[in-house]
Amino acid sequence: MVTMRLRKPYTTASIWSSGKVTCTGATSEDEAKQAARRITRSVSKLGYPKLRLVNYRVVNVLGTCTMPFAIKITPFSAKHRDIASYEPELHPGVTYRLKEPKATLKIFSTGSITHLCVGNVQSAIEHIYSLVFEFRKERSPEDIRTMQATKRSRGFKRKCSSDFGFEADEECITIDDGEEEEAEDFDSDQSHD
Amino acid sequence: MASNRGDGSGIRICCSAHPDAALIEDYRAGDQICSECGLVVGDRVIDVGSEWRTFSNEKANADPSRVGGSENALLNGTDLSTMIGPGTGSASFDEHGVAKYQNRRTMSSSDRALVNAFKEISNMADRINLPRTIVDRANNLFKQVHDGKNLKGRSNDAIASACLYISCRQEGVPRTFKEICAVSKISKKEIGRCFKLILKALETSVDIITTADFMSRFCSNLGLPTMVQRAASHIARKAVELDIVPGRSPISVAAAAIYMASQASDEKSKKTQKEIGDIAGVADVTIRQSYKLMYPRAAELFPEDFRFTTPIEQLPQL
Repeated sequence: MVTMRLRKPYTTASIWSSGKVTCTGATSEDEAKQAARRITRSVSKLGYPKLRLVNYRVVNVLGTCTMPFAIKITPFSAKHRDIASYEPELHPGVTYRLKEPKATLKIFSTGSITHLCVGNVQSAIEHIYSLVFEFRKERSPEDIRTMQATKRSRGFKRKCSSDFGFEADEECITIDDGEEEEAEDFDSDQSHD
Repeated sequence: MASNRGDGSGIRICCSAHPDAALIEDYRAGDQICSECGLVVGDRVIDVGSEWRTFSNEKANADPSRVGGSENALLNGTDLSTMIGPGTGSASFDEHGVAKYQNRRTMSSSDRALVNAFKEISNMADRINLPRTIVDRANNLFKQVHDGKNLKGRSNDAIASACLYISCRQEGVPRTFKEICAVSKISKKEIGRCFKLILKALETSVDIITTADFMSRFCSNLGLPTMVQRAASHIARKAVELDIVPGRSPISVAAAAIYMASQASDEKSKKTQKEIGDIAGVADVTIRQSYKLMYPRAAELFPEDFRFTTPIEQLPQL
């Protein structure tokens, strides 16, 4: 298995000799597709002239977000005993597995949540927000004071509110070694590498 | 003589003269005797009493009323084959001193893994002095997991260790993963993985660990007096209630609480972070972290009736 790293969409690809390729690290779905195409192109330059990108699909999207409040994870995990798993000795976060947007969420006591799912990240977050909201930790006045003090030292302008940051990370593509004459429009791709 | 009375409930032997009389059963002679006239009615009733006399003898290990060894029937299935034991006496060895009948034929090949695992669980439990109930529960869990076969690829030792961990949890006396690691040759990561897989396979769940579960064990291992132990339990409970230590493992909080309580007591109960870390299996920097979170509110954490040999202001401020 060969690992190949690209600079321009900063991605890492694992290339197996069977022709399957796993490409991770891109920050959006389009970037991932672009990275996949780049990799196909660089492999085809090695002596596989009619290389095609086949069976491209997004396997996992990893997103992180932070709630504007801290979360009391012990009562949260007690309430959702059947779906959530919390083992403080093994991992400091609660692992919550959702079924209908098929997602795995890790919820931490600081309020940050990472989720790993296929496709719809937004619906997973909306679902979990309502569940987590009842276990929020209210900020005491001295907490607010310390937070404002650190904010002033860092020079932030906006108020402390929820920031939902997205990073689409992991995707999977398959590159097929084909003898077909029909080739995808590889050449029109930007090829800086 | 005996006559059969066929009524709806089947054939019953009864005395011909007194069909309604109750029959007294004499097992030792194998008779059934009519209670009215004393006629012997039934015969050749099999005697289920014991075949030889037994006298109570405290020293004898063997139970004379048993014919064979006790079966672990629930866990092994019916296994009635005979094993030929190792020879005793000189006739069982040939000229070079090698035993003549060497092979104890492998009897329960399908359950050999089970027997090995039970032995392993028993060994591990013995090293940390776990009672028989926990071992039995762990054996049951292992049997269930083994029958389910979805963890088939995993090492049996790993599954055995995870079963032991789960059974300690289920009995309400949890042991930390590190304690189980200490008596097993499997890594903590692998035990953790097997633990999660077993919970999914058996569709059970376990309660979350609390600081109180570990207090008595850690404190007695450190040799702390009960006053300190009670104070430490109170501190840990209060710290978790007030949520001063969010996201910290209960073990670390317990260790920090023990540190705080022992430092507030007299000289011979003061324990260093390193000693507590050794017993609890937490790094001393971890204790330091949790202690730093708890120190500012130390006054609220201590119980009201605690006698401070070292007052709060002089508690170390690491």
